[in-house]
Formats: sequence, structure tokens, C-alpha cells
Amino acid sequence: MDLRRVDHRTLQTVTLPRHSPICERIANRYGSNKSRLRVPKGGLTKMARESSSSDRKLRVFAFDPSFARRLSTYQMNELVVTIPGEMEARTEPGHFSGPVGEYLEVIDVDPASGLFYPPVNLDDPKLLVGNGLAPTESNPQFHQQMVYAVAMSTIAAFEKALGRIALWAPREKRDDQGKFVSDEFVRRLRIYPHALREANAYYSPSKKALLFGYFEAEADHPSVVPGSLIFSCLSHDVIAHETTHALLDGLHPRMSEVTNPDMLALHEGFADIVALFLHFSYPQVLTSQIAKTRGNLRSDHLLGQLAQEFGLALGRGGALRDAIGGPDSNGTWQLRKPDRAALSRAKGPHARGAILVAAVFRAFLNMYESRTADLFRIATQGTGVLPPGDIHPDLVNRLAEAAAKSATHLLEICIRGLDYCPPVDITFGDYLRAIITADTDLYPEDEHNYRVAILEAFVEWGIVPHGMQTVSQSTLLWPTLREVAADMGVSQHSQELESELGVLIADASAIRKKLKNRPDVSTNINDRLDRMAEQISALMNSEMMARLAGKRDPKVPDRELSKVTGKYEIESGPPHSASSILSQNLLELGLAADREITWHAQNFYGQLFWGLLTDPDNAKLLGLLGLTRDAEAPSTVYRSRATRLPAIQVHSVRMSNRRGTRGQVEREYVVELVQRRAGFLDLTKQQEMDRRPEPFWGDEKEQIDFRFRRGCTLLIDARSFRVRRVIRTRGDVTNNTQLEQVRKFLARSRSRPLDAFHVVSDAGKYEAFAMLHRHVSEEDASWQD
Amino acid sequence: MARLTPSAGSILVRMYRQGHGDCFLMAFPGDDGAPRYVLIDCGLKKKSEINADWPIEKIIKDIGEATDNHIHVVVVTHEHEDHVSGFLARSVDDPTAKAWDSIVIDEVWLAWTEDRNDELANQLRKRFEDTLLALIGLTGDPSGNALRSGLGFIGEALAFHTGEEDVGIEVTIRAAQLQSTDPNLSLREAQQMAIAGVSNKKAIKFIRDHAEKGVNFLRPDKGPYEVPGVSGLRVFALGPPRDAALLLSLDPQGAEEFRMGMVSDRESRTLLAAYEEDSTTDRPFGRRYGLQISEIAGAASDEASQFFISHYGLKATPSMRRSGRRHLPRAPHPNDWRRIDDDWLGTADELALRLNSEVNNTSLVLAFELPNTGKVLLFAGDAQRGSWVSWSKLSWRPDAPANAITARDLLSRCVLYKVGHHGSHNATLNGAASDDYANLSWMAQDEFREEFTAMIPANEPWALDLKPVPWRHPLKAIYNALQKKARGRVLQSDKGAPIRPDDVSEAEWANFSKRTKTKDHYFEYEIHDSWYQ
Repeated sequence: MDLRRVDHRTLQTVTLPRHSPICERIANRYGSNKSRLRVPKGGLTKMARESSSSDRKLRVFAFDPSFARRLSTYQMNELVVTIPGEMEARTEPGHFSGPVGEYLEVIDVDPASGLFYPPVNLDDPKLLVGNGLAPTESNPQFHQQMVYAVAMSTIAAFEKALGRIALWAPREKRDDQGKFVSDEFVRRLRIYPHALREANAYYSPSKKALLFGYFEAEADHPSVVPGSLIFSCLSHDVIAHETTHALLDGLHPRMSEVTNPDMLALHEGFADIVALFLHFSYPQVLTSQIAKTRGNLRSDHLLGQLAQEFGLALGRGGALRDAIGGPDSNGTWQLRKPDRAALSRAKGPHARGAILVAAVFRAFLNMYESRTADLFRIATQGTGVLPPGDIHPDLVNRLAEAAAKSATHLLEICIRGLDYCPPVDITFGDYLRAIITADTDLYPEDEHNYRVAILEAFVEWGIVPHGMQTVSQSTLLWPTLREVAADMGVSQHSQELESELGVLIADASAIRKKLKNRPDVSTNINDRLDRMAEQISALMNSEMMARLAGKRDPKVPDRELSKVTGKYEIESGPPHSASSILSQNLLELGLAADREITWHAQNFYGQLFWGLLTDPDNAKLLGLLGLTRDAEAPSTVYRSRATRLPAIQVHSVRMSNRRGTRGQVEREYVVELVQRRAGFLDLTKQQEMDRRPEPFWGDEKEQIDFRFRRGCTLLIDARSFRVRRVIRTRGDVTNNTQLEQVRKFLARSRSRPLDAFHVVSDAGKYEAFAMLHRHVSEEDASWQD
Repeated sequence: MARLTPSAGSILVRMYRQGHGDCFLMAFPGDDGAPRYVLIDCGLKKKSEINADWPIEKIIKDIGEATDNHIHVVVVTHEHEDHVSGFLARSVDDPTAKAWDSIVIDEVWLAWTEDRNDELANQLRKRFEDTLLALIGLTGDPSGNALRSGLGFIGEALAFHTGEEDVGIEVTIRAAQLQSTDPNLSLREAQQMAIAGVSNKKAIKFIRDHAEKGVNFLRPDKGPYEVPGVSGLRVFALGPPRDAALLLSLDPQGAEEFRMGMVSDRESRTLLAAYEEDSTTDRPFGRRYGLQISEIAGAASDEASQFFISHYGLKATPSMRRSGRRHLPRAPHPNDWRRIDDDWLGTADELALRLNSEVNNTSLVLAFELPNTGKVLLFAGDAQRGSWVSWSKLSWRPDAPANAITARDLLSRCVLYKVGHHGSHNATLNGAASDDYANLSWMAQDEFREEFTAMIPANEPWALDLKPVPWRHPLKAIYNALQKKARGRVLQSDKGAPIRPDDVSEAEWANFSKRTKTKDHYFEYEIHDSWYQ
């Protein structure tokens, strides 16, 4: 924050202890020895994210270094990506080493070589003037720059589409017995550019880190000198893909829990989609190719070829060849015709994921062609036949721009859909509904026919929600709460719930008060809520101090900072007391907020939501949401120790700011509610456990085979508190048919052999994503129990 | 003791029940009336005995008695402990003597991959050796702390491949001794020499040296071969394929890919390089770009060192300098949970697995075709997918060019199937008769089906008890498929005599059971080279 821009009417005075390090720094910075400072009254909610720092531009390889060695692709070898200044936490002027920023920390350790590659300093004036280091394979500091730049632009694309800051999955702290203790905030995703000596790169959920490998090129690699090293951290698409895995893990805690054949495929396919369309969203990438092919994208399938070429870097050559297209027997590149039955034949996450990519890619072609039809009419005077020779550079630029725009929009639509998925057990069909609904809510008028293009492409590839009588834009929309209530004949309930929600969000202290008076809620829970509020207020205060003091002290870890600042006396009472926390809407922190505070605020509101939903007065509402509080539910449905009724978990409460077509800001809350049930692969055992007298509490030592989860995602309008969308899983947690489906799927996949010695269930020791990428299984001739 | 004597017009097949491993003895009636004996493999994994009363030494004595100490052909399918360890066994009567010294062996049959005059074979061996050296480098640190729990399969695979338990350390020590006696030896040369002395290699060398009438290297593009003295019997070698791509489970997609997720051939070398002393050539960057542990320790005040100490958490001590490349020091640090010191070794696990599959694919796969009925006995060794899918391209024209014999043809007449790799995944392919790759459905068509019998050498309780990860040998799905296809006629070495399934008539079962003999230490099965009425 730039103090000079603060409106003084909104300031209050705080006193800093003399001779404290912060005080000294302030003195140095502002040339005074003041121990009393005036800070904004509203606290952080009114503080904008530091915008004084300018955007950073960094040079990267546009694809991977091999493109620079080929004459045909040389021109599109390099890109400059822009990282918004407010997305970087800069510590001291002139120093930005690692890079270790607000979201990422690049730590370049190469254990196989026993070497450490010293960090690049992106704020080095020499680098600032040249947009960072020039692309090269030979300097590890450029590698650090490139992974940072591409990962940051992936994060930026997510933030833009979702309208909120990105958070990484928390670290699950466990005790010596492996019992869950608490979730811990993880500020930065770690990136190791040279972690492995193999043709692999993966996201490690346990380390919250991306690990990239390097390896020697095979003799038969087409564009690489045999024996030279190939670095996966120098491939734009590999970086974007792996960063997406990490972002998804932060967004949907249960996304990597495999309960149907689509879950991992969605993870993979979606990460590929982000990598491809992020790439297409740079107009430079396409300019030279469009010029070369005279913009005749339709016949030469330029985009398809490029998409497939990108796929090679991801190791998806084979899968994308089947899905998007490839050279025919004459060596001419052909776009693959969509095949409705392909999905039912596809086995394994990569093959299924490729079909999702193909469907989205087809939608992209449709969008691009409808966007450029007019340009071609103009250029050909309506004949559709271009004159011989090069096309006009202006036309090249317009076409490239149209392609980039289509890619950007499609990418945003795809990312936004993530908020509109059920919390668990997502299928491709659910994802189609999510995309269509999300886009409809933001852009009620489908001006550019994007939704038509998407729907058509998905249907052509056979991706449709299961068991739907008619598939159209309107039937695909997830229902509103009122619609659900009307269908169930309990319309009045929906209004009650909405008014309760309004109270919760506008005045959390009312819910707090009610919780304190509820006999069924233990003091433990109330104490925890108080502690959370205190923690948030402490963090907000410390964050504010740190910002006032200029910069965050790089040598003091975040957690210690809050301890230090606890000592400050503040003249007119602390600006954020625990009670003042409750009287303001923390979810409105928006893009400007500190991410740790946002993370705590989301958890805090999650608890309040829990209080609201478990209120006996609201019991009748739960049926609308696909939740149960039935005391007679099977014993395997986890019970809450507090209420002794089926437990409800509030996974997250997130705020989104999205800008609609008319420039209006649409704000909504995304709430994920989940219930769990102990699952057993043996049906008899399941039935036995369903009937046992003692219910499951979730902390017993008893061996269970899997967890069956059901629940719903709520989209709540932040102004009217209307529940815009109720996105329920198929069936609730007591639903035995759904349980049976999950059981069958797991039984099948767990007995599927990985290799001659082990089967899938034995592979738990491996990192799931490392395995997914490492292990190329031979599905065609294998056995399934 | 009883000699194994087949009656005229029939042959006998014994599956010994020594443990997790193969040992098959066949007796064919010779042209001169005297039986001819063929032994296929003799080995087991250490401590995998099925019956404590029948250690391998006693089994070999039994083989000697059954053959009157004269075996005409010894087939060694491939160089894995569970197929060759028995050849180094001691005599049960005289522990100072070798068990096999008292048995005369006429010929030894090996796969072409053992042929030192074959260029492709030499390349293959080089590759296996590279991988092996890389893995040995990982496990060969005498201090023992390189072998961390995460290394999973490596130890198992090495034991398999060499027949020794702590081969990494053994070879490292042996190589060091060799180097100390001959300072001119490079580390690699010394290691190569040390590897030549591991058990499996010794076993094969031993048996080769015993062949009085020489060694035969069998190839799928040659043959059929003959067992001397048994005219009309033809032996077809279906594997190992002469196609390196299939043998080495290379990426079928071809060369143009980046090959994410594939452990490439060069990776074993890259991995290997990490364990070669003073190898700077395989470092990814020029020397000026990297800091070593010692440098960070020595200059803890400089900015880069400070960066790593505070973010990665290192406190270098002088004692760590020597082994610094292998083990990064680990002083307690709040970010310890994010360290990646060992993650790169995940490749090694994959390499170990690959080495194992590839050596399995070098298995000599033999189809014995009986002279009269054309019934086929298929001994698949431990061949895995890469070998199976190569069979469909094979054909032999022993008689006239018009009458080519194909693998499909041979498999369709199969009446006895020695199940590949103890019934594991990928060693018996699933599929339909119409598929264009060899699979279980290709086997035993028409009248041959009524006699189809499977033999699985396995010790299932032992395999399922392995730590940390049990082996699914045999895989339930394969076992069930065999049961179904053979209508209960599945002999598994660790199980008792098979029981008649309910849907099989007494008469049908009797036809099988009267030809089957179950002893504590073997199953004996008789096949008539004629059709029953």
C-alpha cells in the first residue's frame, strides 16, 4: 500500500513500540522516528493489494527449446509473459531471488547431481531492463525464471476466470500415529526445476511441490541432438499442466479421489486443456503459422496440428492423435471425426482425458471459425477464395487475435466451470453441465454462440450427462434452490434457507450467538470458533503492520510475524478484535486480501455454515440439499460427536467476483457440503456394518475399504442471498445404489494389475501423480478380476 | 529307484514342487526304445520351499534317479534366480560336491540372447548390464543408508537378476578388491568383472560347461529343432523375439514423442552417472552454475548459500563431504516435509521393474509338437507381453513352402500349457480368438480343447506374504480363466491334486486323473500321442 494515497479520513492511530525492527524500518523509510502511525480504520478489507509495483515481463521459450532448433518453428520460439505486479510479494527493493514470490517458491536443488543452482534475482536491474534472462538451456537460472513465469501466468489465468485469489491445498498435519491433527496454510507452491533424472514431471500432493525431471535424448528423437539433455521444466505445456494439477488440488480437495472412471481423466484432461489453450491465448504463437498457411486454417488444420504438436511435449502424442487428428496414410494431416462411441471404448485416464480435450478443442474450432468468417468474407470479397501469394499482415494479425481471443474465452469458461461441479464423484457429463451453467449465469445472452459451440462439440464426442432425457442448453442447467423446492413441493423452505443465509453472511455474530446457546453444540466447537476469529484478527493486524512497515521482512517467517506483532500496543484498541471480525464480511476480502487471511476466513465461514445447517430449526431444509440428518441412517454414515447425528462437512466457502458482459460484477459464494460413509468392498460386510449398533464417528481404528461421499455445491448470490444453483451428487449418502456403483468401480480398479508383481491397491506408497505419469500400462491384453 | 519311463506312444511331464521357481522334467520314448530326457530349468527363490522335506538338493537327486543320471537336453529359459539357482546346488549325499557333477548332460539349449557371437544379443546384454550397474550403485553403498524404504522393488529385482541377496554391497566390495589388486582397472571395469561372478551367471556358465555335446542357441526365425533320438518330435522356439523394440518394451508410439513417463534407455546411464565418482560429464550444467554441499557449508554467509540453508534446510558437516553427492545433510528444519532428496530414485524402481520384465522377455519359449497327433506342449518360460505379441508374425516351413506352420496353428493344438511367469499379469495375455496377438483364447481349439491342461509353478502363500508388497502369483483373474478353460485341469505346484469341478462329469475327470500322479515333490502328467475313443 502506498501511504500517500490513503484517504486520511479513514485512518486511525496506532502506536508502535520504540526500537522495534519494524519501527526502525519505518524510520529509515519515511525519515521520521514516529512510533505512532495512522492506519486505515476498515482494516484490510479496504486495503488494496500492493499495486505500486509494476508488472513483470519475462522471456520464456514459447514451446520448448526444440522449437528453437527447427527452422520452421524458429520464429515462434520465444514469448514474453506478463505477471501482474500485485501477484508478487516483493520484499526488498532490488531483490527477488529464487524466485520466491507470493504464490511460488522456486528452489533449485538437484539431488541426483548433489548440486544447488543459485537462485536468479529477477529484480537485478540488469535483468529488469531485458525482461529477464534470454532463453537458453545452458543456464539453470533461466530455467528458474521460466518455470516461475509460466506457472505464474497459469495461476493468473485461474484467478481471472474464477474471480478470486488462488489457494494451494493445505498441508494435513498428522501426529506420530498418522492421525489427522489440523490443516495448515500453505502459502507457496514449491517448484523444483531439476528434481528428477527421468522423462517425467509431476505434482506431489504431499509436498505441495512440482517436481520436474531432465533426461538424455534418445538417438531417434527428431529434433534433439542424441545424448543432449532435455529439460521438462523448459516446456511451457508441461509447466502449465503440472501447475494446473496443483491448482485443482487447492480448489477441489476431493478431485483426486478416484470414485469413477472420469475423475483422474478429468484431472488429466483439464490440465491438458489449460496447457493448450493458455498457449493459444498468446497471439504471437499463431501469427507466423497463420501467415505461412495464408490463414487457411480449415484445410490445413493448422490449429489441430499445433494442438497435437503441443501434446507431444506432454507425452500425449498417441492419445491426442486418436482424439484430435494426425497424419493419414498419405502423410496429410487429418482432423479426426468425432466419435460418440469413443468414450465408452477409452480405457485409462489418459485416453479418456484426451477425448475431453478433443471435445473442447472442437468447440474451439467452432468458435474460431464463426469469429473469423466475416474476416474471410472481407478478404476474399465474398468469394471465399484468397488471391495467390501472402495474405495481408493486417489480416494475419486479426486472425491471430481472433484465435487468441477464442482460446482465452474458452479457457475462462472451462476454468469457471470448476466452481459449478458437485463436490465429489464428478463425471464428464457433470462437467458439461457445470460449464454451461456457469457461463449462463455470467452471460445470460449467448452472444457469440459459445455455449452452442461447446454443447455441439461435447455431444458429438458422446460426452453427455448420464440418464438425461433431453440434452439442451436449458435442461443442462443445474437447478436453483427454488426449482428444487418447487419440485419437492416445499417452496416455503427455500425462502427460509435463503433468509438464514442472508443473516449468516451479513451478520456472522448472530449465528455465533445462536451457536453458543445451542445445547447440542459443545463448548469445544465454540472455543474453536473463538480461536479462529482471534487468529484471523491477529493475522489481519500483523499483515497491516507489515504493510505499513513497508515490506514483509523476508527473514521472519509469516507465522513468527504474528507472534511479534502481538506485542504492539495500539492506541485506540486493536483495529481488528475478534468481535469486530464477526461484524464484517470477511468473504468480501476479494482479490486484494492476504491469502492466508482468506484461507482462514474460508475455514471460519465454513464452521459458521456448519452451525447454520446443523441447527435443528433448519432440519427440514437439508433434504433440498441432498443431505441427511436422519438419526436412523445406516450406522456407516459418519456421525458428528457434537450432535450425534449424521455429520456434515463444509469443505469450503469461497467468494467469486466475476465480470459479466455489461461490466456488472457478479459476486457469488461457492459452498461445498459433504457427508461421508464408511465403505466396504465386501457387500455382506457393508450390510453388517450398516446395521451395527455403534455408528461410525470417523476416528475409529477400524479398517474400512473406502469412503463414500455425497453432498452438494451451492452457488449463492452475494447480494440477494438467493441460492442460484444447487448442484447435488447423484443420490445422498444413504443411497445404496450409488454406493454399490462406487464399490464396483473400486473393486475393479483395485484389482487391476499394474505390472507383473503388483496391483493398483498395492501402489499406495507411490505418489499418485508420479505413478499416473510414470506408468504406461498395457491395457489391451490385461486381466481384470 | 524308479526310472521315469514313458510307455510307447506317450510322454511324461513332471513338474517338481520345489518352491517358487521352475523345474520340469520330460521323458520321450526314443527311437531305440530307451527314453530321452529333457529338463527345463531348475531353480527357486531363496526360502520359497513348498515342502521342507524336499529341498532342491533332494529334488536334483530325484532327477538323477529318474533319468539314470543322464539328461539329453537341458533347457535354460532365462537368467533368473527362480530358473537357474538349482544348477549351483550341492549334492545331498556329499556336501563338498556339486549336485550336477554326477549327472551327464548331452546338450544345453539356450535362447539366442545368450549367444556371444550375436550382435543384437551383445547389445542387449550391454543394456542389462548398464541398468544393473546403475541399480547396484544405488544399493551398493556399504554403509547401507542408500537403501531407504522408498526404494521398494529394487532389492527384489536385483536378487532376482543376480541370485544374491545383498548383491549391491557384494559387487561394490568385490569391485573394490579387484581395483586394489589391479589399479589400472576403472571402476566400471571392476564392476563388470564383479558382476560376472554373481550366482545366476555362475549357474548358467556351470551348466554350459557341462554340456558334453555343446550348446545350442535357439531362435524363432530358425528351426524347428529336434531332440536327438526322438524322430518326428519337433520343437519350435516362439521366443525370445528378434525384435529389440518388443523385447525391450520400448514405446510403441515411435520416436517423435517427448516420452513423458517413459524410462528411457539413456536414463539408466544418467542414473548410473550419478553414482560414478567424479563424473562431471553427466551433470546438466557447466560447473560454474552449481554449488556443492561443501561449498554451501564453507560459505554459509553468501547469499546463495543462505538461500538454500533457509529454504531447503541444510547444515553441512565435514563428515558429509565425502558422501555428499548421495545424501544431502538433514538438520531439522520446518520445511523438511517438502524436501526431495530421494524422489529421483523413483526412476530406479521403474528401472528395476523394467529390467525384470525385459529379462523375462528373453525367455526361451518352446512348443513341443508330438509326431502323430500334432499335440503341442507349450513352455512359455516367463515371457511377458513383448514376447507374446511377437509370436503372431512367426511361421516355419519345415516341409514345403506351402504348408507354413504358424504360432496360431501351434497354440490351437496346445494340450499342455506351462503358464508364463507363475501366472502373473502380462505373462498370459487376455484376448479373443479373433485378436491378432497370441493370447489364451488362441490355445486349444476343437478336439485339443478336451485335453487342455495348465501347469503353474508357484508358491502362492509365500508370494502373498512378501513384504512390503505381496506378489500376485498367480493373478486370480488368470487362475480363474485357466480353471475355466481347462475345466479344472490346473496343476499348481503348491496345491494338492486338483479337485473335480461340479460341472465336470466323472468320466471326463477320470480321463484326466488317471494320467496324473501327485507326489509330495512333483506332479507327473502323461500325454498320449494318440486320440482316446
